[in-house]
Amino acid sequence: MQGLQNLDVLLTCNQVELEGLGHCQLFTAIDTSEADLLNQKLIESEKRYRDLFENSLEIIQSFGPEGNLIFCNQKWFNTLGYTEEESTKMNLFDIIVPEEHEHCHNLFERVLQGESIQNIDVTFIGKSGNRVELNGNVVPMLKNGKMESTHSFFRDVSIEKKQKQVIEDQRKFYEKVLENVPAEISILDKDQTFLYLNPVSIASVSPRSNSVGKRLYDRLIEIGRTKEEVEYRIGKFKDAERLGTVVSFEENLLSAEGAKKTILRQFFPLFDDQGKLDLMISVGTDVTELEENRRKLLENNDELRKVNHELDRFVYSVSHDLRAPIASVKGLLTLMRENEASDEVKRTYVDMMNTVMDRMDHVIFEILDYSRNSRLEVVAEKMDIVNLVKGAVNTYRHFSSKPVLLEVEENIQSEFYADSRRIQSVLNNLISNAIKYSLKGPQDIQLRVSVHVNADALEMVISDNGEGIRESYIEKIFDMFYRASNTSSGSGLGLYICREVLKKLNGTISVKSEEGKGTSFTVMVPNSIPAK
Amino acid sequence: MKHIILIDDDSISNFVNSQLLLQTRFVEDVKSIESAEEAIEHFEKVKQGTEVLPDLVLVDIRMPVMDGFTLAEELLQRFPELKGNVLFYFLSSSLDPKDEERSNNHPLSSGFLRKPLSKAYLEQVFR
Repeated sequence: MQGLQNLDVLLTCNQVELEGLGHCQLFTAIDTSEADLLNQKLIESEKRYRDLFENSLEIIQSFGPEGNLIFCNQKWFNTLGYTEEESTKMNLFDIIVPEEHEHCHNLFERVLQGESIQNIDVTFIGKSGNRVELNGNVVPMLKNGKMESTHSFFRDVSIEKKQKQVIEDQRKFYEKVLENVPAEISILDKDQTFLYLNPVSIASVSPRSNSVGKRLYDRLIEIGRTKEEVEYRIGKFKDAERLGTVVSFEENLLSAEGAKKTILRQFFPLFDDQGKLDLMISVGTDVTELEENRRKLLENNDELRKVNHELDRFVYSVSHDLRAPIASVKGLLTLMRENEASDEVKRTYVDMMNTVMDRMDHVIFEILDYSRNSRLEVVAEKMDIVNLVKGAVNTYRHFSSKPVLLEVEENIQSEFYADSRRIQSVLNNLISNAIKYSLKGPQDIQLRVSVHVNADALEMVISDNGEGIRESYIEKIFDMFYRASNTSSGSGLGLYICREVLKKLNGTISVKSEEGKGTSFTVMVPNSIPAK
Repeated sequence: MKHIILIDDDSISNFVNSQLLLQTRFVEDVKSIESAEEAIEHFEKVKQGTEVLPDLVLVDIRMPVMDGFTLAEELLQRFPELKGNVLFYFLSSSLDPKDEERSNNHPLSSGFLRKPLSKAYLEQVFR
């Protein structure tokens, strides 16, 4: 040995018998510095592992076979909030939420049988009732082939799970929207391959097919679109890609059920950071009804324009028809005032005024008739047509100086219900015409009226032996203000009113005539017998 | 303006207007015709020389069967010589501006007269 050095030694003393020496004391000194070092290392190692153990972000715990807590780390205390003292009396099932007891019991049994179980999801409950969702592994610890304890390592996944739930909820939300929105929605990649189709998209075609993975062209051909249609759609896809904006277009096609449909289709291109097409969203909305409504609106608009025009014409014509008599009366008044006319001449003037005023009155009545027909509700009531015919003939008999002969042929099989006011107006017009437009000459006016009534309808034919209507005017006689005869100065409204009335009653009116021989009008009116 | 023809389906209107015309200084005779067909027949006679060529024709617009405009068309086709040789006025109680416009635009037309006519109105127009 060089110099002086302290040595840790283990000194022992033994009594021994040595030949020649007798009893001796044997001292042995063993250098123990090596062993101390070993011990020191062990302690350091233990401290290091304990540090790791205590500072672990995982919950580490050990339970005995009875489920008693043997040890646990700081994270365990931090998470569950129990004190060290409390922990000594705790059992595995004290820290597991009740609804997972059964499941965990089974797992614990398996571990006690020697199985290591990975990736266990479990929910612990802390001292304050806080629930902590964990995920981890449990391993059995054996000593001399005997089950001594279980070790488990758990990670707090509450936040992770919450985030996952949020993502899942969002996914479900978007899925719900996409699945339920009443439009065809599909998503294609830049190569025109389907990545997604919502149920409406899938159901919109025949055969129904989920074409995920198929190309647009193939899907369209498969569902029977013509080549032109397919190329048109693909052209629009390319337009959207090229223009970088939404492209909208309408397609007329047959639905899966074979009905005609109008689809408003839109391509929405989405681009990546480099400005290259990433996704194409295709949305198809069924606008069949909208289109139909638009068409109807346009039609109504046309109809309104026509009505408006007619109304305009009506107002001017009526004002003309009302002003004409005024003009005549004013003229006659001037003549009376300025001339020294004899009483006899004056009487002629007054008679003329009277005629003119009658005509004006008649025009006013016709206008009212017209207005009533378009304004008033149709009211069905029981009517006696033959009686009405006879009444009308008697009313208008005086329109002619000649005798009026009436012959009625009736075949009544049923009661007849209709709007009596309107039917009366038709009868008045037809019968007064028949009397007014009689042939010049001495012969009597002959009216033949046949009345056929059954449960379905009234068919009535009114024939006269009057002047008749020239063939070229026949088409126009039902037009508003059309006058086909020079004989009388009517307003040209009478037959127009007849046609309008019968339109309103869902009936018809037609005419046959021979110039110089006579005219016959056929009127059909549905029988509106009230349901019993 | 000595000879005048009135074409109007309304006989009373014709009577009143002819009386008014006869009271003006410049009219000698007025012939009343009550339909467009008769008017065509009359001008046929004028062409043949059996009736005198009128100086002034007044035509009602709204007549049954053939209205005043159609008659004017018909007359122009059959008797183009009327244009420029006869004063041709449309006559109506209509307040419809379209009637007045059509009247003024017709190649045969000299203008539009609104009923009721009066002596003062006639003298103002034909002075």
